[in-house]
Amino acid sequence: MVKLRGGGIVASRVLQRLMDDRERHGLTTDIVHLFRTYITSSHGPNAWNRRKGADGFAYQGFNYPKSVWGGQLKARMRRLEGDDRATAYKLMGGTNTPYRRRWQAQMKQGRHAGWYRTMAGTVDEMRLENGKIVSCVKTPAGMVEVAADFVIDCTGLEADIAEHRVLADLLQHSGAGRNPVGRLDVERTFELRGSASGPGVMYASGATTLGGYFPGVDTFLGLQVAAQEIVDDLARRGFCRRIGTFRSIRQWLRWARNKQP
Amino acid sequence: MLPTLGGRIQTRLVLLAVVGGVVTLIIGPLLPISAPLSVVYRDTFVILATVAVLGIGWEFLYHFVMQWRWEKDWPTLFGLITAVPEGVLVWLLLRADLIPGIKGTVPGTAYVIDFAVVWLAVWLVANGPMRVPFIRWRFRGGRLA
Repeated sequence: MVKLRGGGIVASRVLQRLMDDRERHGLTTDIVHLFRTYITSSHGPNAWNRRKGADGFAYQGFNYPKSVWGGQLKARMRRLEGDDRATAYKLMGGTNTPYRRRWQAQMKQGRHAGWYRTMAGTVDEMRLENGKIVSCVKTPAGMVEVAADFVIDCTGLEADIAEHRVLADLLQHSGAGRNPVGRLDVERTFELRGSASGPGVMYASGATTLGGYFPGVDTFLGLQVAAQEIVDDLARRGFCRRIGTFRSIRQWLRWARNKQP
Repeated sequence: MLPTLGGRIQTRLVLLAVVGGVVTLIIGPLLPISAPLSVVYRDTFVILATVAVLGIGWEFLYHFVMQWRWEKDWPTLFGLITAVPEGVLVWLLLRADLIPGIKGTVPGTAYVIDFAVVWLAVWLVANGPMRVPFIRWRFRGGRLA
């Protein structure tokens, strides 16, 4: 018996691995899956903002709705401040995972055969008892005890940025502040707000700045977008030359011929 | 694609004018129309302009449809298959003689070839080469200006 916690991409991949192994090696693994927030169907505040969901999971292809990387949501988030921005983050964030047909078929089979069960709740306490790990789960229907041979925690980490020594130093001494989500506050150009010193500017992107005007900032494509906008800002300040149409074509042609751009 | 309404319209107009214009120039003489080249060009460019003008209306509709999508995206395939309703509408208008500036009759085969080749070229450029000259285009919802 394995107890799995979490409803994100890690949980869904670990779950599939357990089900794959079960199939491949003829195992008799029983799986109990615990969700803190159990999603039963499409969810959202109105018809224009509904994310698909079922069986506990919220389904979304990537960390965010795709248009935060360049479309309507990117444009919209750039205009939001304070609480409005924090609310928008909440709406499109939350734990989610991509929908995959193969894994859905396995889950269906598991539910049917009774070796895959789900429950909603939070773990209050865990203890060892007769070689098993017993979790006391607080569910809407009251406390339930679940005994398992293994517990796989896929719930992820939420650390405060001040736990990082350099970032704590920045917050304390440089004038940098926090955004509505509690991380480093950056401008639309990714300049670290409040930390400018004469002509000196500091830029920041990535997960430490999540909560800013560009939600995709903690993703690979988002880092690329941020880098481009930082370079544009540097060019505006006369630090380097802007990458325009002709320069881009010229450099792309060099890249295509396997030459250093 | 991840368009905004403004980006959609700008991208459509620019790509139809530039890519559509060049493709129309190239395929004009190759189309199965028994008319002088000047008439062929006149008709094909009028059709191109019609697609551009009606397209602004279509983009409003697509933008509206997109609002029901959680991701607020417009999948690449959608950009290809919207050729069908748009192509049919222009064809019906052609048949009904409602497009000003058309000389004579445009044969069905020539129309299908012209429309499909131009559409395919525009779609291919939008989904590939466009990001080389315009590196910010796809991060700005398809806006060029």
